[in-house]
Amino acid sequence: MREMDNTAVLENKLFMPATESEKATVEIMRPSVGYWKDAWRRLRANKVAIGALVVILLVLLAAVIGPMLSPYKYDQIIKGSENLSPNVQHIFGTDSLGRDLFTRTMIGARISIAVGVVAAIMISIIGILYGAVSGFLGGWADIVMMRIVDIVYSVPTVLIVILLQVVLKDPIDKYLSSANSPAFLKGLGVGLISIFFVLALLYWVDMARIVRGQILALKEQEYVLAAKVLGASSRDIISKHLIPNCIGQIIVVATLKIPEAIFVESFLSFIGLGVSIPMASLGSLSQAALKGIYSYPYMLIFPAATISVIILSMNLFGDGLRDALDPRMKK
Amino acid sequence: MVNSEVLLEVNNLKQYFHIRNNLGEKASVKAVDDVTFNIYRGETLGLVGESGSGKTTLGRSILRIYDLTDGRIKFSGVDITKLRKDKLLPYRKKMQYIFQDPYASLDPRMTVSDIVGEALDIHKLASSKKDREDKIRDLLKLVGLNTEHSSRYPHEFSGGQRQRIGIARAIAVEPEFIVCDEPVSALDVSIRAQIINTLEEMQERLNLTYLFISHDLGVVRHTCDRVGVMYLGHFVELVESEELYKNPLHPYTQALLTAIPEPDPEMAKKRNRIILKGEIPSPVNPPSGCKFRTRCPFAKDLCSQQIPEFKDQGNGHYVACHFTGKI
Repeated sequence: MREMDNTAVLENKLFMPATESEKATVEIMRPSVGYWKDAWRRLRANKVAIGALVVILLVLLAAVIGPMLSPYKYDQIIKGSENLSPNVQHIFGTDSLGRDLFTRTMIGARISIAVGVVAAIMISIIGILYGAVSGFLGGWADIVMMRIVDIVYSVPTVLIVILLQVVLKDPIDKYLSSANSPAFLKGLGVGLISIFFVLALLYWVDMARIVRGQILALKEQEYVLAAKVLGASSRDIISKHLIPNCIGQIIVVATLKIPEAIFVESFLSFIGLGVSIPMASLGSLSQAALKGIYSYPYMLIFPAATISVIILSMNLFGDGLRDALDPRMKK
Repeated sequence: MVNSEVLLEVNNLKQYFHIRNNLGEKASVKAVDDVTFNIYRGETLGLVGESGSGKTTLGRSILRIYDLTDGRIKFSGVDITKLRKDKLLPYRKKMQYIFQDPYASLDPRMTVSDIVGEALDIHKLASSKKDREDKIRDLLKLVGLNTEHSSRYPHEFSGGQRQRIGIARAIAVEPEFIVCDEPVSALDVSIRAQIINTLEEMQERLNLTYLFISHDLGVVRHTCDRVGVMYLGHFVELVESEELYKNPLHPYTQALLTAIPEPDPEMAKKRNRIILKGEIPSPVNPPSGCKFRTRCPFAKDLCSQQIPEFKDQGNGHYVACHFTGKI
């Protein structure tokens, strides 16, 4: 076998100082990737989540500007065209009073999404504040506050909605009929307002638990100690160090709360506790369709399918968001 | 070298932590137990001892991070032991802390200028937005960082650079006293010297007093004027650092010093290593009398009966041992 030649010839000219252009090629030019950019990159790679986001945006578009473009108003009764099947004029058909179902479904989606988003915001505000205080204080305060959470968690939703509607009906009616009540509240009616109350009162507990858990872990971090040594107040420590460091989980929980709230609203409207006529929500449309389910099944299919599409895409998007914002949670 | 003005006076400081064991019985961890010493203005006092000896707890107790179990701390003559939060704020400005782990001690969601700026904001040290920016830039320059680093996040820096950010944050409030809690032990050996030099430079420029916690006896010898040796929450010896290395009086100090690696194998062979047996006892249930007696090669009956006094042997050499000078 031929002997391997392992010797390399080293000459002086190999050891010249690098030129400026050579140095420039080694320099790291890529700008650093921040937290949000990195999360967006991971999210973009998730096709299911992006598909869900597109669906959400389309539904949102239809819900927000769709009714304005429609030739019919949601409460416009067209005499002589009751119970029409889907056709060119009315692509979702009409209901038993001759109202265009496509417009009503878009209005219903608008109400449902609005309920979901507003509820998620209320849930987040209450849950973050409560959870942050509980986790930060720790000890006895934490134990008591978490037992309250357990109690709230065990309260049956439907019961509270019915009770609240009974209790709130008079005061809200009085307030709504008074001159200085805002116009947008008048459109909501007692049912929807009490649904908001219930969502705000009962559904913040998940958020509170998750924020508390995060803060319990984060408050032992040394950077929190560093802030204490500098003399930072508890409020500053919570708002500047603790909450920003669990913002990823907060966004994920809030996103997943939107479909949950939509579901609750639809369910309550379906059993007749939601929006008042002639306002429509996806739940009340489904309920109205029940009477004629054998003759006109499309009346139920369209609103019910819209609920499903919204909830499914929101859940898928929320899951994708969790994977993107919190890569450690990925299984 | 060391002037005689006492900056910090610690008297009989005790720091116990209450815990429950798995049977639900209450117990207390005596992390720091009856410690008395002074720190003089402008000096660097080293604090050495093995893991679990209470060095870090002592450093944190002095800064009032924990509520003391007992004892008193005076900062330039003012008793700060019982000061409430708002009254303590001016002293928070005067006493700062540099952390061991430069990865955990910087908020990952804040930029460098926010981290350093937070110190300025809390104590209202910047008169305007521009002033704040200028001050942050000067601080970064002072600790040897590039000023264009100010808009970056901590994860973009190396360990040594992060520790410099930590130093910039600590000196931003113009403190008089800084507890350096093993500031270099988490760093790569090649950068330790740089950080130590930065700390020394800051001390000179800003007239700082350091409490330097470390378990690296080589670093302590280089940086410290005096050294205290801790064992199980107690001081066993406190003396000027050259004297400690030349003439250690406590058997624990002697054992520690013989444990310093010796680069010359001939010298290492000749050396008489004292090898301590066993582990440091649990601070929940410390031995009676002298805390070190369970591992001390010279322990006698007296050691289990009486706690040795932490006594000045002359020229400021404090030792806590019954048989000082006889071993």
